[in-house]
Parts: sequence; structure tokens; C-alpha cells
Amino acid sequence: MNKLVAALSLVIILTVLALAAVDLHPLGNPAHTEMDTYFLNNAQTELGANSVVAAIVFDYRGFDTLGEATVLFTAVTGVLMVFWGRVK
Amino acid sequence: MLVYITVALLIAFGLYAIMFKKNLIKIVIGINLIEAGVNLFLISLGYIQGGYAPIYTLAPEGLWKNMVLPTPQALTLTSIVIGLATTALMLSFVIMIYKNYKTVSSKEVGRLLSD
Amino acid sequence: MMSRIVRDVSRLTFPLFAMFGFYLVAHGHLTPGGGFQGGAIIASSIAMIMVAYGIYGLKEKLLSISELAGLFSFLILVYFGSHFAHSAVEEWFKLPVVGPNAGHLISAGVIPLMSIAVGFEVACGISIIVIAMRKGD
Repeated sequence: MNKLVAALSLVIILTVLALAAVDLHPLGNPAHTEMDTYFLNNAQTELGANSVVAAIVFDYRGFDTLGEATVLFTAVTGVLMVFWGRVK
Repeated sequence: MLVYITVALLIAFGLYAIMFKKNLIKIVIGINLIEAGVNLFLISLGYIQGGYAPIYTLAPEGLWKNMVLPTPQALTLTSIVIGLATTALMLSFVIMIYKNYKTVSSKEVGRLLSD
Repeated sequence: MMSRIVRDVSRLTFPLFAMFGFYLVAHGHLTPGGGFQGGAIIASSIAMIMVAYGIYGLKEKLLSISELAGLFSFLILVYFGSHFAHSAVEEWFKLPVVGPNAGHLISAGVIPLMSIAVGFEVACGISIIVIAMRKGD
């Protein structure tokens, strides 16, 4: 019974995903490109970085990267706690 | 459209592994499959027909006016690193579960915990 | 401790892997790559030398301290970059011409410094994870 419900929900999720995949707008022409056009046009004159992805990761969205580094540090701390932490 | 169908299949396989498998390592592999599908979806949303990578170093003439959107790539980079961190944490939990209960089956662990 | 062949090959190829990782970290603002990918490659070279030679003699306390140093230097650089970048490190801003160019290594302000800090942190963090998983408790 439990397994039947799981299988049914999996089939429903797969159907919805397949319908969404057929219905999405075609690959190759995204809908909104204003922000990315700004980044592509101004990354060199504002920051001097040739790689626009590096400019976004480290400057335009620098606080995102700070949070990401914090997440990695927290994961390392968690692994160390799991392996070498004292119980008492 | 083939890319979107691949994304749907990856997410479906990951959900199947999470729902029906009892082995904890297979569940971790399923979570990683879902993550790969989401990353592929993000990257494919930013693709432009015949686009070039958004890097100006030695870009060929004529192609550099038509560049792929850079923001989905940057956020996918973030997502990949966070996925690596969570995978390491989950695998270390599985290792400790195996050391304490001598099994990696979620059913067995639940039975051992209940009594 | 693995066999002689594995030890010799890993000892000979370790500088190449580490050099490739440092190249990716240092050229993060010019080419594909950056702090995260280069740090992962440096960590994989450390993992390779660890598989070949065993884990005795690796100082995990030093690695965790340097990971913390990488995170805090990145924090300081974020603050620095968001407040003083355009005035204090003006000589670092050798702006390239707009459009395709060959690129210059010393350019782009604080972006290479942040990339180096992140690469430091990622390399030390993944090395610590691999060492902890290998050693057990």
C-alpha cells in the first residue's frame, strides 16, 4: 500500500515534469536578458575582468560567494565534528 | 526540448532512488542525480543559439557579440560547491551510521532505533 | 602505503597537478576557472599523494587553521572590495580595452585576490574532509 502510493506519486511527478519539458519555451532564446546584457556590456569597463562569470561571482554577487564560502566552512566543521568530536 | 526531457528524466531517477531504495549510499546518489538535473536546467536556461562563452580573452571575431548569459553559470557554480559540501556531510553521516549500527540500510537503522 | 609504481608515478605527477591548480586560481579573471575549481584540483593532488604515501605526517591542525585564514581573508577582501576598491587600489585597475583582447595578469582589482583567498579555503577544506574520512575516528 505504501509502495503503491509512492509509485503513483512518482508517476504523477514524472508526468508533470514531462509536460513542463514539452511546454517550455524552446532552447536557445531566453525570455529576459536585460540584466545579463548589462553585465556583458559593463563588466570590462567597470571592473576590468575579462571573464564575466568571475566578475559576477566575485564582485556583482560577492556576498553570495561569501555565503557560499561560509557554507563550505560549516560543512567542513560538521564533518570534523562527526568524525573527531567528543561525545561528552 | 531534448535537454528539458533529460532534466525531467534525471530528476525522476533521483526521486526513484530516494523513494524506493533502502541503501543509504544509493539515496545519497539519488540526491546528487536531482542536483545534476537542476544544474543542467539552470545552464540550459541561459543558453543562446550559437552563443560563445562569456569570456573576452582571445574571443574570436564575429562571435563575441553573441554571448551566453553569464548569471546562470555563476549561480550554477555556487550550487555545485554547496552540493559538494552537503554530499560530504551526508557521506560522513552514513559512515558514522555504519560504524555504530553495522548496516547502511535505512529500514534496519529504523528497526534498531525503535527498540 | 601503496606499491612502488604508484608511489613513483604520484610523486612525479604531483607537481604538474598542483601547478595546474595554481594556474587556474591565479588566472581566474582571465580564463575559465577560478578559486573553486583550482582549489578542488589542488585538493585532489593532495588526495593523490595521500593515497600513495599514507596519511602519516600530514598536519590537519595546520590545514584547518589555514582554511580559517582563507575564509577571513576573503571576508576582509569583500569588505575592502565593496568600500575602497576603486580608490585605494587604482594601480591594480589596468583596464583592458573593450572587446576581445589578450588579457593582462595584473588587472581587475580585487577579483584575483578574492579568487586566491577562495582557492586557499577550498583546497584546505576538501583536504581536511578527505583526511577525516580516511582516518576515521
